Amino acid sequence: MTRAVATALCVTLAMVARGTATPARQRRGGDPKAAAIKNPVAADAASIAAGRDIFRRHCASCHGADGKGGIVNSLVEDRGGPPTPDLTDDKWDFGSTDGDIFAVVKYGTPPELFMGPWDGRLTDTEIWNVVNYVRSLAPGRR
Amino acid sequence: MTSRLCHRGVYIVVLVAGSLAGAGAVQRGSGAVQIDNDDIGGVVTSAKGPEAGVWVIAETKDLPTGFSRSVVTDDRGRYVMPDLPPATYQLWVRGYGLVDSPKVQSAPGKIVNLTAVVAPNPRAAAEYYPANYWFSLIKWPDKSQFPGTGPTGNGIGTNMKSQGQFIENVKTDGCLSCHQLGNKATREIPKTLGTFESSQAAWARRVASGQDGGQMDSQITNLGRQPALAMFADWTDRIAAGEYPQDAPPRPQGVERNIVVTQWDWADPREYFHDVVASDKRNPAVAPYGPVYGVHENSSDHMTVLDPAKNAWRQETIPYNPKATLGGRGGTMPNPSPYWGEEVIWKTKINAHSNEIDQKGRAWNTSVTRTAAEMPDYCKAESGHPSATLTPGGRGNRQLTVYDPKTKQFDIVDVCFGTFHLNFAADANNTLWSGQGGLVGWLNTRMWDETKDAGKSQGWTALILDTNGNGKRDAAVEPNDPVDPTKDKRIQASFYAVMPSPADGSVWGSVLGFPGSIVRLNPGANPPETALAEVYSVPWNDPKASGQGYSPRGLDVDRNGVAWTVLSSGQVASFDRRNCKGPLNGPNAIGSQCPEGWSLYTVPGPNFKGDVEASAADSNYYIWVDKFNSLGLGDNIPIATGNQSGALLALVGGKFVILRVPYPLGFYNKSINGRIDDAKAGWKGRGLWTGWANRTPWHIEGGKGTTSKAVHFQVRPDPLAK
Repeated sequence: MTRAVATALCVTLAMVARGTATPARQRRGGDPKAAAIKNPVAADAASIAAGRDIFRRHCASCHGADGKGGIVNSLVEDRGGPPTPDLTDDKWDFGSTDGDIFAVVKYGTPPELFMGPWDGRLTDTEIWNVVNYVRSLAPGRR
Repeated sequence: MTSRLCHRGVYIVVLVAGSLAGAGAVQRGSGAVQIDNDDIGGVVTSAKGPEAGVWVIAETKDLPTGFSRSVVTDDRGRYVMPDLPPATYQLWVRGYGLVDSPKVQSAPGKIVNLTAVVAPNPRAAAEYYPANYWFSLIKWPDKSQFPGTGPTGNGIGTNMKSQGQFIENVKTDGCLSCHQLGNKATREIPKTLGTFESSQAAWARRVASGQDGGQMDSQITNLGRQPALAMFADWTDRIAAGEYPQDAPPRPQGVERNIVVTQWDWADPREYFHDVVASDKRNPAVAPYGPVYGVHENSSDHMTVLDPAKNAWRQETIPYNPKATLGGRGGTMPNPSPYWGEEVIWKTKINAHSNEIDQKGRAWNTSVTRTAAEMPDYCKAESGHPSATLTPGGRGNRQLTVYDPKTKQFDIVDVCFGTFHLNFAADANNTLWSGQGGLVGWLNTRMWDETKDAGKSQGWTALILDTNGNGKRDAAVEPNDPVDPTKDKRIQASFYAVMPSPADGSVWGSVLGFPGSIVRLNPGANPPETALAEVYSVPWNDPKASGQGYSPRGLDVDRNGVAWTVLSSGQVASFDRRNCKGPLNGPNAIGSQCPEGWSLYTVPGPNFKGDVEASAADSNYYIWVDKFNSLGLGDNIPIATGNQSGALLALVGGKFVILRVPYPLGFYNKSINGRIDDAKAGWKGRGLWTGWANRTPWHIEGGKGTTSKAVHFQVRPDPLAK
């Protein structure tokens, strides 16, 4: 079995194992259920500032303080993975809605990318603040 | 060794064992060792009598940089510390069963008899044991806990399918890919970390500290947060409560007593090294007595250069394309480091990973010179480049730089494939191979030297298996597609190590993962059109294999074309393709077609207790084959890094010779390089070069402020050779 097949199997099993109404690790291209989640937190200055603080503490060591990515996580690179993505460009690998971004943070991305779930470590409100901050990095882009 | 001693006929049993130093540059009386004016020698005794197989360490800060040398006592406790640069030295004795002796000040040309101190109890003695002895005390989640069922189940990550995979993700493909776990800094919780309600909370805070806190924290999540943190907390709690390794390491025996280890401090204490290089792996006579180069991966943009003759180091800055928009590492962290607080200690933009020296003595680096999006036009499919036409380039993290010590200038060589490790082929074009992310690439350095045309001088290929078995490269199905007997198949195998075979020109690479694999790429007559790959999985749960293991990392190929790798399961492994019986192409040749090619050798030291899916607690990052007797143990000797055992492990005649670094505790390296400075100078004219590569030099004995070291290993004909 090739590594790629094994990886795909891992992702699938991870999704099945969770088996709840909410998605497991967010799928590439987004997830309709996640996409439908409405952002309950207004993207005002207070939320963006709160999101910025969280992002700087928990996210910037991989995604860069400016969210432009390009940072090599050795454990990802060793296995052939890419540098972290640019969160300010017009490409969203896991869906582009607020709900998709929320799901990426809350449930993580496929294991080989090493972004684990923040569910239980950040509250939903804190995650929405992060979503609002990430949105603010490139305001004209959806 | 005894016969050699008798044959030399110059050493006499020492009868006097005192702690006073005696003056004189030659043999004294009837029992002392013989030394020259640049040596220190003497006898080591303790309350138990002469101490055999213990280290005498000499250290000085008088030279342009910190310097230390260690030797081992012979069977009568005698030692000779050869060829010391003029300086005042602190000497002391370290050994298993002892605690460090008081330091004695002396200088070359003197006889210094030393008094060793027997450890008052086994716990005190264990403070000097290598980290793998302490790490062997860890208790892995039981095999019955796998596969993990995630946060809503047993807490173990759902992608942890077996205990072996969990161990792999802590050992060589996880924590131990950067750290030595079990040294004093890691088997204890530093007070500066803070006060916590539980050890588990302390570990949760610890793994989220400093600039790599995000990465470490992610790996804990990958393992399964609660079980992983509980495992580490249990380990350090038991040690804090007094548990210690019950089995003492063996003292150096036989040829291990002939080893001389010399070390130089180099670089800033914040900078760690990845790879270190001193000569051309194809010809270790290149660059005799020349500089030693090290690169710093995440920690800085420097290339640090040691001049061993002057005991001094300097730094060059590795350049990147001035038009590139490199962002560099983030300056933030989840929590302050208990050592460096909020200080941003790693600021690299170029992230140089590996280096190699060519036939001209130039140092080639794999380093970032631009962003992936800023690739040159010749990488693009529409360029007409033969490689780009088949497989557009551009995703790579790093490219190439080369430093010429004659001009003291760097050149940037922009390549379309990712570079990681790199190695030269022994061919007329001095072809440089590297790869990452599913592409393997090459640079015809002869052509590049002649034309400076990087686009024309390079090529790259995807990895295509000949699954239709016709011996040619054809249209291929994609990695996630099933095998189609009418087509070839592309595999998404990312080379970590890369090494051209000196036997047949094929290029081998290691592929991380569980159980992982090695890949042989045959470039053919006209690559990339003719390039075909073969993949060989590491045998795991394969009843046809003579041994079971998993997860390779470093790799080299010996002069016979045998590939050597190191496994996270605790073995050195060889793969001899000549032993394969079945067809090596066709629809069934997708990994498990040749278990008979593998031979596994369990590395020395303890294993974890109980029924575990591992063979040893040591962890081995890389392996290098001493093809040309650079060290003195023979030709074609595989030598693995013992990252948990603080040693190099040379496989000689099927048995391991342990080349231990006794001081400072915590030796951990990722590269090995041989150099023959003078083939006529015996043991003095040859040796191995490497460098400390622990990402956290502040975890080394000595703590914060301790620098990484450049290390030179030599093997004398006997312990008293001077």
